[in-house]
Amino acid sequence: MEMQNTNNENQNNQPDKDRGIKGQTAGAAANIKELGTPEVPVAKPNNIHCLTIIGQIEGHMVLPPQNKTTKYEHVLPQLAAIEQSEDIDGLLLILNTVGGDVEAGLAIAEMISTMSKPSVSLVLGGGHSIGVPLSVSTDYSFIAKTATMTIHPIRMSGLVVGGPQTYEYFNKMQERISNFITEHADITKERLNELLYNTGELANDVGTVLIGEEAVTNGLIKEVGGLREALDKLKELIKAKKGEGN
Amino acid sequence: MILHTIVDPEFIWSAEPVDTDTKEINYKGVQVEVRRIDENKYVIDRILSTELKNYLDPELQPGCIIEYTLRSQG
Repeated sequence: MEMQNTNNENQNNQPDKDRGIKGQTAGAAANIKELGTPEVPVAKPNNIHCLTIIGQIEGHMVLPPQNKTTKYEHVLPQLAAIEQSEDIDGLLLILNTVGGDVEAGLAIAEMISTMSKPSVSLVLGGGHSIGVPLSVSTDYSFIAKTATMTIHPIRMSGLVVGGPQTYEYFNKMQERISNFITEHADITKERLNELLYNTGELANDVGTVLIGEEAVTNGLIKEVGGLREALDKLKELIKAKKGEGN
Repeated sequence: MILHTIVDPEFIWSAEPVDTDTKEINYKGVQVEVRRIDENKYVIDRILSTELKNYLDPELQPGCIIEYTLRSQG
């Protein structure tokens, strides 16, 4: 209900709601500027910001345009800005991702987990592969009833040098991800490895698909819920944090 | 670089020629991804900001046509 109020407030404050949806009002705005008319009232900034991680998480290489991507060069400065801004009290992280670059995914996850402001994640649709550390990086996490998470080990495609060092390197890279997950979620290393190397679930891969509640019973995600639960929790965390400060 | 994803690498890297002319601009203080359709005319593809009120702004809805020149916006 509180959410609805915020929306109404925004709409009422919107100075240009009669202008239609075309958005071709750049000229009018410029006139206002030129003629020195007082600034049009601006809607109050929201105290909750929302970061969406959608499609592929793009790393150091630009992916071809058929991939819908989340780019780390957008996300990292946004997170820094949210942390630094005085108007923002909390972050809602919405995930619907098929995974992506390990470095970029972990970079975003580390940024979120080291934020001082309360954060809540909501996994919708899918939070696969490198989306898993992202979903557990927040203070509290939710998964939609129908959302899925694929837990599977990393691999590399293309030409790989077939030496023992390659295996070692892969182990190390997998450890980075697994350690982050076990540090930020209630799942044990043993259980996570069981899920990672399970052979009975995926047709052409080892791993496990967790659906909604299963992610919670395995200790990855805290609760099954949706937008309302996620926002309520975030507001509760913000309130608790403000209480702490006084 | 390791991609940890459920999508087939062959699909990710198959570079089908897609005719896109997208770029990121700062329109009225909001970072948006736009596609050029005409000289100085762009269609908004998506908003890149985390500020939720931008998503309620009728002028910034995906599909809106905006006029934008590099000069006038500085």
